[in-house]
Amino acid sequence: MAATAQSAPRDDTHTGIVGLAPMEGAALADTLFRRATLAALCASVALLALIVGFIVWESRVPPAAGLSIADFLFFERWDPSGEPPQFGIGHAWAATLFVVGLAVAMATPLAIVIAIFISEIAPPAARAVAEPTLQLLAGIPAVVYGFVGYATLVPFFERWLPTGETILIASIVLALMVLPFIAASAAEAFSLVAGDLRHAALALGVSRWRAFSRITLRKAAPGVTAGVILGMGRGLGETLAVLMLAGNSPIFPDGLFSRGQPLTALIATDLGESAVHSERYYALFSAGLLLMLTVIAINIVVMHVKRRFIGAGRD
Amino acid sequence: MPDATDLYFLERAAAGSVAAPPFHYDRTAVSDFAYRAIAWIGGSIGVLVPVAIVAYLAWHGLSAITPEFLFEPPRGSSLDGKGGIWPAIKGSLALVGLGLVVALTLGIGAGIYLAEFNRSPLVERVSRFCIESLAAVPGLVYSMFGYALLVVTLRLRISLLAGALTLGFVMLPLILIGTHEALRAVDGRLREAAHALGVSHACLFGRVVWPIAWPAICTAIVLSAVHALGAAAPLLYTAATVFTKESLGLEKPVMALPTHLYFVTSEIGATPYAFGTALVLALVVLAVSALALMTRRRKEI
Amino acid sequence: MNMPLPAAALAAPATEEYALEARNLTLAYDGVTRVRNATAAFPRNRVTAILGPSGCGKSTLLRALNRTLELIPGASVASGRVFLDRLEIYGSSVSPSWIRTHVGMLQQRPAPFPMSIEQNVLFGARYHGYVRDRAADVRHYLELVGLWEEVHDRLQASAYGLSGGQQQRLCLARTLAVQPSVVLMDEPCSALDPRASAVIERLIGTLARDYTIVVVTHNIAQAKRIADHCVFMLDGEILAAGTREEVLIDPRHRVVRDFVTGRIG
Repeated sequence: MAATAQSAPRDDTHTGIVGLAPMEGAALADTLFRRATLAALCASVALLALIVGFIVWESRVPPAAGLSIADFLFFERWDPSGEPPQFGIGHAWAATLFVVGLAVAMATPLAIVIAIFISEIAPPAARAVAEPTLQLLAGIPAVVYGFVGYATLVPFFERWLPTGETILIASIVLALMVLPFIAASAAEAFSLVAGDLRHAALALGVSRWRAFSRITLRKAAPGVTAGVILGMGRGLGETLAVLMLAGNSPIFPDGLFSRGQPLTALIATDLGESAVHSERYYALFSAGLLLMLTVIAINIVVMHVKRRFIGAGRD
Repeated sequence: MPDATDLYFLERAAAGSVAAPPFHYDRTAVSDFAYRAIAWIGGSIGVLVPVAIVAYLAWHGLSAITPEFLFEPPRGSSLDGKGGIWPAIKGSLALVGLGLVVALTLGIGAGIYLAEFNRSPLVERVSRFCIESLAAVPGLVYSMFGYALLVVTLRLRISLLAGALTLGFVMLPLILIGTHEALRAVDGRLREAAHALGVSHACLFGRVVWPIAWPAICTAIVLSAVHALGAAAPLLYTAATVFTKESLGLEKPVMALPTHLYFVTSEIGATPYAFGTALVLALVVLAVSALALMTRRRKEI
Repeated sequence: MNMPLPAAALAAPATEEYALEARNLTLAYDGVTRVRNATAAFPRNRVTAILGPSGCGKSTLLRALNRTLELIPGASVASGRVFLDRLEIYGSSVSPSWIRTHVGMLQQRPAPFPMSIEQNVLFGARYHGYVRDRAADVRHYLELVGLWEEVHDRLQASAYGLSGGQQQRLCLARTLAVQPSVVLMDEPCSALDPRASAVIERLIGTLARDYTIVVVTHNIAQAKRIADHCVFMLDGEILAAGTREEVLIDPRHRVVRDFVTGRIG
């Protein structure tokens, strides 16, 4: 270390100012600081690899001998304690898609309306109330959502139906949970559309709706899409709310009012009853792997959409 | 071609009277009115839903919240909705507290590296991608990971330690991103000025950058901590037990607020005890989040 | 409308000389008064320039003339009246949308919509049902602003492919397509290079035969080139109004004289 003070001045500053070599003790502290934080970064990144690695390690696709991948994914039923045991997760995938698709379909229109409110209509005082409240909506824990749904919607629907725990209930509550994500993304996208454009359209005497639908929405479409996809990813991974509300029956859902068992609920229910490294265990981990890869894939899509369209749309 | 209303207007103007053409209820005005009305309705719904949820919980659960409820353990030998939730509160605090140790060390450290030392855009993009993917991974998958790694492989068994580590992993991405953003937001010219004076990087960081970024980092920490406080999924197979009378121990399973709510609801349904638990959880999360957001906004001003 | 008034209207008294009039207009943003007691008249089929240093309220006044001020949250017309051909535009039964089709506005920064050139031109006209023959109308308005030769072969292309000056002329064509009788322009050349500015200035001269034009500018030389009448504002008040000679060449007001001769900017 002593040599560095006499050797050519190092340039490790942000601005390229050469000639001011740091003093020795400080140099040591700097290096330690740098090494330590780098280690933290490597550990954090390694965590992702570790998680993916372990899930892959503990899963076997297909989990049982003699079971084809197609059967595992689509065709077999889920009956691990039957004779012979069956490990198909088709019912779970279907329930997941059903619940999440419905939830996003219900949430998106309302989210866009709320986004219009926040970005165009609300006076500053109202916006100061609405924006944080939306964030708080996102902050309510999933268990609490599940509980409220269980306490209100389930008894309500049980007046007409054999069971209140249905796909529909889970979708409604899930829609509330993803609503703030979509609304926040959409509101931000709408605000980025230059005020000049909206003013120019309104100065022509067109209605606000025409200006919104033909101009703002068109320009903000990538941002809104990113928000919707983000909401889907959030919904896919949701466990507790659907666990408490969707009915948790390993059957293939055949309607809005049937019970269902999304992937997350399946894993949450069954993992505790699986002996470690049994076929059931592997099956559940395989399901978890699918879930994780899907969510990461969604994340990639969102990042890609944001980079390609929103970056370009900023002029 | 002038239309009928224009001709009408012209005639009146020619006649010298001040015309007031009946244009007020044209379709644009109607459309605009509906547009604004629907937007206000939507906005109101967005504001009312969280308020309604909390109000609903309070209505049914406030009566259950007594000092005994908060500071006593459940009575009896299993879940039957009598007594208090103190072990769950204790457990949650311990889990998050211990988890923060891991999350803070790794998260803040890594955020500092990315913001202060990293020069390569590739490293930044890859790192951010990995961290943002981590943030998107569902809590259940963290639980499975925690189970596979800590409980099975490392033989930690379902314990406070395993749960705390898992929660730490859950909080890590959020703290990292928060730190990175907070440090990035510090004006580059301040750093240049300090460098030009010849101070060491560590000194520059400690005296100039950190004090400015510290509030935003704090907010990020608080927000991720309350997020973890309310997260039930990561604990399902790593730490949570339905009921325990034992005191806290690193190698023993713990009760936690969110999982307690889930188990109670499954066992005995929506009783005042359950409402009380839900209310406590919701209020703590919302109050702390609101506080953190408000202080952040005030600091920005 | 882009038509001469019928003979009956022309026989009306001399006040018809003013297409647009503001009387005792007071405008405020969030309670802070920006324009105080402004009274100005804009002669028909002439170019009137509103002059003054930055921040004096010119754009605010302009926005009040076509009822786009109320689109800005917090902005309001505190008092005063505006007359379009003797119609009180802030009257209780008057639709803002209708006013905006009769008083058009061109903004400072070109704001082409995210659609093709043809769709841009006809955007407002289609909404109001003014389009009789799409191709003919597009050609007419593009010719009016001198863009037809330059873009006739790429009408379906995105408007973003045009240069700044072309985009600004496209926005003008779009404004003219809703058939206003008055065209307001808010510093239309300040975002353009000198060559494009010259094109716009020539255009203003040509259009003034058929439209009443009000141009906000802080550029004295430009005002001298294009304006027939002038209004001078400072700190939200109108200090002088009159013909070009009265305001720019030989101003009586001391402050106006200082500004015009360049002693203050």
